[in-house]
Amino acid sequence: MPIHTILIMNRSGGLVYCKSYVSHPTLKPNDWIRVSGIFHGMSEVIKRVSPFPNKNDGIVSMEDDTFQLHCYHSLTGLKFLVTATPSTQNLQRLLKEIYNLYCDYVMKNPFHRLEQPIKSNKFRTHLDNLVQRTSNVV
Amino acid sequence: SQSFCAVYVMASVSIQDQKRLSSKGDTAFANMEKVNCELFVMTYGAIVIQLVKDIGDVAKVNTRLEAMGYNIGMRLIDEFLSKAQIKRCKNFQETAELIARVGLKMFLGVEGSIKSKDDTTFYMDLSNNPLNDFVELPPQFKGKLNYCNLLCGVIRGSLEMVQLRVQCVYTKSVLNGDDCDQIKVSLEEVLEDVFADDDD
Repeated sequence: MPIHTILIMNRSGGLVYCKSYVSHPTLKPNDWIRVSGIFHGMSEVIKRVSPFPNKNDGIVSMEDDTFQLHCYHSLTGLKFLVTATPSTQNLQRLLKEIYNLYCDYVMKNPFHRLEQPIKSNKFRTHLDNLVQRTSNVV
Repeated sequence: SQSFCAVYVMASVSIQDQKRLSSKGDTAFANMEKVNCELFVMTYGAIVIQLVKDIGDVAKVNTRLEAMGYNIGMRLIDEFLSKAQIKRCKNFQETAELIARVGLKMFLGVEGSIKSKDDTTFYMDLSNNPLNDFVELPPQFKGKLNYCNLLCGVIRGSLEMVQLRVQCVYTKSVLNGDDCDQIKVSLEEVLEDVFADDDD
């Protein structure tokens, strides 16, 4: 499976969605909360390193030999994060499509409480289908 | 609150940019799923009438409409940003044009036009607001009930999610005999995440 994990963080760095499609042997499920917090904090600091801090979003991608990480920052402070195999293409486009799904199945659900973890089954299903479609193309 | 004015450079949006935004609005509107206008307008009317029946006091109805709009705006902004592929604005005038030419067009089907007062205030004129279709305010509500106050809340809620705290009020309404609807938006504060050590 080329896509490893998808994370969605709210504007304060809290984890609102996490789905892993591969196993991460050294990470327990709760560890993702810590990963989000650290990523959020680091991304905020890195923004200020830029000589144009008002024009950048923070960490957009990271890579190493075994995986790549991409993050899409919405103007509302949401972060959509995906980790995948190094050869996977079009991850930024995938993240934008996940943002679209979020707008539909999370934001338009009147019972969803803003900034809280996502409990929507429709969102979960559509996201899994999207990841499946992306994996088939790769 | 003079410090935040320095972030926004005094600028107006060129005609070319306005046209570009208009066509962006048209495209966004074309891609949205549509609903029957009558159903939409009557649903809105039903909400207003129910609030009038339940609350009674006109000022409180105005406040409640605005609050409902605020909750909608907070949820609508992501839809707007994602479906219309919006990038960061350079100044408040650009934000104004974006709201009028793309936002309003995308969700209401009509474009507003902007009259900027200065860097932190603008007036948005709306000449054919569909919510006003078929509506006539009885004398006891003319000049008092801001029938479309929901829109003010939507704008305020949306902008707050992109770190702009604004005040949004209805200044003119065709339901009161004016030539068009007009909403005044004033920027009060640019919200910024404070980066401080835990022990501060």
